[in-house]
Amino acid sequence: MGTSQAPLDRIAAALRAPSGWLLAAIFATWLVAVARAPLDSMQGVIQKILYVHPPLAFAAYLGFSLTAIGGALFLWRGDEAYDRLARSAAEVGVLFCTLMIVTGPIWAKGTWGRWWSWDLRLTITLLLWFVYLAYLLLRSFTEGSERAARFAAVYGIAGLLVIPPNNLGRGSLGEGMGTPFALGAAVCLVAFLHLLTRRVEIEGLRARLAEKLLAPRGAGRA
Amino acid sequence: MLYVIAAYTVAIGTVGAYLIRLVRERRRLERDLTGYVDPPSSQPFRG
Repeated sequence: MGTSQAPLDRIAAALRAPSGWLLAAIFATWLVAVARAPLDSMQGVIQKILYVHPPLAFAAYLGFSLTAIGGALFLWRGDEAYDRLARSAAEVGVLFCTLMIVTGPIWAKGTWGRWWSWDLRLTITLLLWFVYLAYLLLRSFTEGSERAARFAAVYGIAGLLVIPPNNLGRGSLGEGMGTPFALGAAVCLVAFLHLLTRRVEIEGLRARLAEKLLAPRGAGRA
Repeated sequence: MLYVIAAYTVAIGTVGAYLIRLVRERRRLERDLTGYVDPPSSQPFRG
């Protein structure tokens, strides 16, 4: 289980700058598109929240899927780099899931007149957030334990079962609303990628630092 | 309109704050990794 600059860390380092520049470029375009998007005849201006709320959900689901994939690869190959990917993806996924859960009620208050409704989909979404929040707590309490990493990998895979399947491909958009929505999805996915590359790099640096601190004194000196 | 501004501010502000945290954490780790020196007990005596 070597930790010195694993291929995954090199991929993350290579993607960091391009994803950052791409994010900066499409972020500005997205804000302009949202501002210029036509108002919805039913919901009015509050509908503009839907250019950010579902894209946040896409990024959160991507994060949790990568947590499961990283966990499965860790169980299969036993390479610590995959565990670092799973942990990083879970943290960034929880960030986007938190924002999805915060922006949803803001839209609901403006549209339905109430912040929350305990329907099945919203309740399952909240449960999903708790599941991966618990994953992060588990990882923070059991830092460095391989047994905990294996348990977390299984837990991260099982957590995918909680993703509400009816959240994908819902509803339709009016004329002129497709572009800001597509740009919103692109911004959230590129932002996710950029944050993930940085988070993976940090995990790699932590592992290298731990390796250096634990190395026998004088090792590696000329 | 207030709800829209609130939603976008929360989303963009939180992602931005997290990004800044990651940048600072990476810089700190790189500094620790490159600038690491053995604790004083392991260094030869310099009178």
